[in-house]
Amino acid sequence: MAKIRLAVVADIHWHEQRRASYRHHFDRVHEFADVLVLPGDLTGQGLMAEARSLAEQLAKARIPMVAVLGNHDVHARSDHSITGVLADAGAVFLNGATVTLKVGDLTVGFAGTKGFCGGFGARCLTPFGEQEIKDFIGVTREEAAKLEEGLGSLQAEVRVVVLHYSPVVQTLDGEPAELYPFLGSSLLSEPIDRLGADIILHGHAHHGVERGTTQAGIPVRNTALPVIGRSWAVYELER
Amino acid sequence: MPLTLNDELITTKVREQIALEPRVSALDLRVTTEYGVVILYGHVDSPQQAEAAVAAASRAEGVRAVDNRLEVRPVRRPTGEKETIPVPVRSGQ
Repeated sequence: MAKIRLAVVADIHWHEQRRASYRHHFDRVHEFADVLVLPGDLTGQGLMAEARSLAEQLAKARIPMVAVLGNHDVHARSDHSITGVLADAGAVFLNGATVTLKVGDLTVGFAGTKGFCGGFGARCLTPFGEQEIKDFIGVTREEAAKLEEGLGSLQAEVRVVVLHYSPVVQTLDGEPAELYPFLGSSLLSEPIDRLGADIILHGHAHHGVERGTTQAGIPVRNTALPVIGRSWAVYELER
Repeated sequence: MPLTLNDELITTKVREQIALEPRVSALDLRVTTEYGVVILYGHVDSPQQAEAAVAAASRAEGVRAVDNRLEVRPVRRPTGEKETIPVPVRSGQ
């Protein structure tokens, strides 16, 4: 039986208090997992100082790191620099690209992007009416297209999708219903259900729940730090 | 009688103040206001974070008092806890 263990935490929102909480955690992550996955909102306000402080800690991790940006990471329009600082610490940012790793006897491929919002199912926003509405949902469609392209090119025995926004409504349970359209979109789950994946990891919904599935039955895990309540959740993918 | 802000507007102003507080993640908190009294719910990592959140909320215009119902819940240290997910063998592999 071949296995790969993913340690996953989203929405760290790095700041000084969190640094104190996480002291001596990342330097032990290799004891628990083969890959560390960070599904967005690594920083609190998208500041370089936060990214540099987090990078110091991430550099202690002795396993590969895969990440996507979150909405907080782009807030101060420093996302390019933040990506660079964290990449120097070893994190690989997907943003539509893919990465494939060999872990033991398995190849594991990661496809992902930040994603965006717009709502779910029959209530999903459509590109009709004002140009602003078309532009808004156009961003979600572009993110879904990036994901489709990446996932379509992925050749690996284990397929992992990383998003910041949620692709399903189930993991939002506990959030105010009015917020659902701003926490994700089912447009993101459509290419995944078409092309297949073994697990989808996201964050963003701090008051949601950890577990859900897509319509095709693919496991979805909301790994926002307040949801999982621990340094990271570990998912062991086994075949 | 002086003009007072309504509770919804006070909640918005409190959220703005908390968002400006770098020691606290605004998304970890829930804010409600009843007759000018702000109630803070949610989880923070430390008592210092709770104090910072209360101080930020107190700075918002229209706030009469802040009811701190925040739960201090440090990030749990790593354990061997894990979930196993089976991966099917796909055709062509």
